[in-house]
Amino acid sequence: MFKVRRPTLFRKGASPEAVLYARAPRDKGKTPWRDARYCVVDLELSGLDPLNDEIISFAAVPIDNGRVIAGGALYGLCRPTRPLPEESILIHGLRTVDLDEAPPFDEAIQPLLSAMAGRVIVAHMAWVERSFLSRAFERQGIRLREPILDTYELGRLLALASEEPSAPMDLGELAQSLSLPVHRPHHALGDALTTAQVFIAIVTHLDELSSETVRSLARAEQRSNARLH
Amino acid sequence: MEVEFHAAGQIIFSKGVGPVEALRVIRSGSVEVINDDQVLDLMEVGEMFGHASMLSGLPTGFEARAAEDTLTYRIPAQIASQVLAGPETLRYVTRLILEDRYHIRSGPSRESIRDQLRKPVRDVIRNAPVICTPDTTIREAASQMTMIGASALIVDLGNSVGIVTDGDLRSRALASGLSGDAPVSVVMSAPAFTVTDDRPGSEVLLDMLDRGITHFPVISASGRIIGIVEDHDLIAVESTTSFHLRHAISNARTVDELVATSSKLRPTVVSLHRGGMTALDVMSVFSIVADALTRRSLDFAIAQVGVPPTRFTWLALGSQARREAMPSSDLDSAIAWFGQDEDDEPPIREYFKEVTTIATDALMRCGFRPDEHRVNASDPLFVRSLSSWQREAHSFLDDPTQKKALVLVSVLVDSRPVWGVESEPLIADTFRSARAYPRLLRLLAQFALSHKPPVGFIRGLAIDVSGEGRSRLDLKSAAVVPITDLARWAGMAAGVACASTTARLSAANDGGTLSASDALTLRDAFELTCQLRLDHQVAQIEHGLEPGDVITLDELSPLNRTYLKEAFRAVVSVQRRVANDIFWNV
Repeated sequence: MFKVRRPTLFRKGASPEAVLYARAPRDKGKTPWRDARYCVVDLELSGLDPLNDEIISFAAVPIDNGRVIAGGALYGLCRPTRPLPEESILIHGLRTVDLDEAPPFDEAIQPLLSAMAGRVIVAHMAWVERSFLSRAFERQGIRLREPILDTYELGRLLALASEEPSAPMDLGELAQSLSLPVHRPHHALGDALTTAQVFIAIVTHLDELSSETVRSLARAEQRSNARLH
Repeated sequence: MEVEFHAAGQIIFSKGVGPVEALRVIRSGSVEVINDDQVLDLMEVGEMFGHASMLSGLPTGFEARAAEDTLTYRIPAQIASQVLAGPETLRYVTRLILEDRYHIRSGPSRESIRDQLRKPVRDVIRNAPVICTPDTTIREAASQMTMIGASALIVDLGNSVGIVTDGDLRSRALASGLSGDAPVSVVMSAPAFTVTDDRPGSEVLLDMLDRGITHFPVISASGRIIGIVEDHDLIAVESTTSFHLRHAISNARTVDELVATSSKLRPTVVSLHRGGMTALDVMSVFSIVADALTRRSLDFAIAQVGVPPTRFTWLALGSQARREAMPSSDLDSAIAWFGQDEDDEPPIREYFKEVTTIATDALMRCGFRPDEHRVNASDPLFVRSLSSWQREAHSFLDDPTQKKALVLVSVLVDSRPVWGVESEPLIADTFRSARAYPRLLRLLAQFALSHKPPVGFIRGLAIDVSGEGRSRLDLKSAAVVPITDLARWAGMAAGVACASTTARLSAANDGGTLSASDALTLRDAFELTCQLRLDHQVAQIEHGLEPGDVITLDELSPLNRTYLKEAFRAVVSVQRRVANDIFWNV
């Protein structure tokens, strides 16, 4: 006989926010998309290497009942441990001095953990958020929870479904291709709001073709690949 | 606030459901208003829908369907109704239409400029004042200014203050080769115009423009100097063009230079409008510049014709006098001369005829059209001695039933000297005593009530009181004139002579000739129509057209149409109340 052990959700010493994030129940895979609760996340980084680069700002925007709750948005800055490389400053416009007053990362992301708790995460080009957040969460003693929905993959799926050659990779171009407004690019909050609008627009269209659930949205990449082969 | 997406063809809400729980503003895309399978209206970006059902608690009167992929902002009822249900409904709605539309297009800059202008000046002062004594040397003053990065210095003169700006140092000290050891008292302006710290930025800005001064010392209620406010503190750099413009006008040496300078007036109006200035403020700026152009045109005319045979005043009339002129406005004018009591002084008349012809010609070349009703100084009727004007004004007070009395009283009350002697009693002020002449007031009210705004719009036509529909609407005669006429009467009844429409309305409120809510309603309706007029004229200027007041109803968005209609209705209801008061209670 052996005892079935519940997997460890968090390590000892994890913050209350981290515990809440790890434990919060989320909508099941079969939940129709409009009934599920989402949190759109966008990060600005000092670079794209998850081993050496750092998260310097983040934003989270909730989506409930298929509506972007703009008033519930969260935005935060994090103090990097090393000076920012110049090429990243050119992208997001944040300088090392601008972040002097910001809390260090592990402290700064506590509100982000609360915002993400109980919600399915949505990001554009989600591998970036996935790789940076999973490392960051490890340090918090918790694991990043899947699924993470990717608006790039959803856009690609919609493009294939409408027999268009491809979907733009750039968030702004994707939004414009859907005739949606683009909020301030390369600002975590601006990009998160744009991503949220892109998400509800794409999924509304996909849902018109066939009913979408949290699980079907999470399988966007596989569905696209299946179409192609 | 929430953001929603509706795919093309999706029904946002159906007819007869509800009441809806939120109002929606279209952020991108468009929405059809459908009743019995007929599309009644197409609403576009920036327009609002669902509020009627939300506010009334009644089921929706139409179906709203996304005409294309549409993003809407959804404002839940509990938030929206707090604002919408209050007494400031029309004002809120005005702001919503006028600001949000731009806010969406141009980001937060418009809002922040407007905020800046609304704040009391004490909140926009950046540095503590640097105060020196009159015997401080110019060198010392200049080095102090450089050190703290200030562009002006206050000179303490005991019971008054002087001011030295970097411009003064350049033009008065350097250009005239003064020694750096000379005291600042030689180059300062004293006594300086000061402002109290509680005045809103927009007022101070207009004062600056009016006086052609870019720095004001700011004084607290207790008389303490708390700093200097500069034009740059109040407006965006591009908007400071109106200062340069005013300056260039007073420095123009020939009519050609004046004409060249005035060609920048319309682009300035466009940039102020884009920069977020309200229509009322743009009108004030425009009037100030029109004043400057009038003065300079007269300077040239007098230089050409010769020394005037008698002292005189050039009076601006109508919208320019009220400081409500717009690019479409005519510049109406009159002349009052002093000293000679007799009207029939042929040499004097001959002189003014020549001056007026030259000045009017210069103003026409600057883009102002001659008045179509010939209410101007080229008409001998409008060129008279002051005593003759005053005799006429008094006779109107005594017998308002004289021919044309009401029209002329309206013209004379809206008069303001822009050139020449200003110290004599003004003609408009004669009518301050109008309160003592109830018969005149009653007739003036009747006169003001004779302008009826259209009763509504149906299928792209404005329906006037006779039931006739017109596809074109003259915003000035349909909305502005009824309001300015009511305000003039209400202001006179409260003892105010020449003043802006908004000043008259608040005086009427204070003096009890209009109820607070009626005064506010008229003010909001006035603001709305002025803004629509300015929007229209700016669009015309941008398309290279001559600005005017006639719009086709199609060019108004459905929402603007709704609120213009509301404004008309509000004016009509105030007119009705005034009529009741005047004809039954007096």
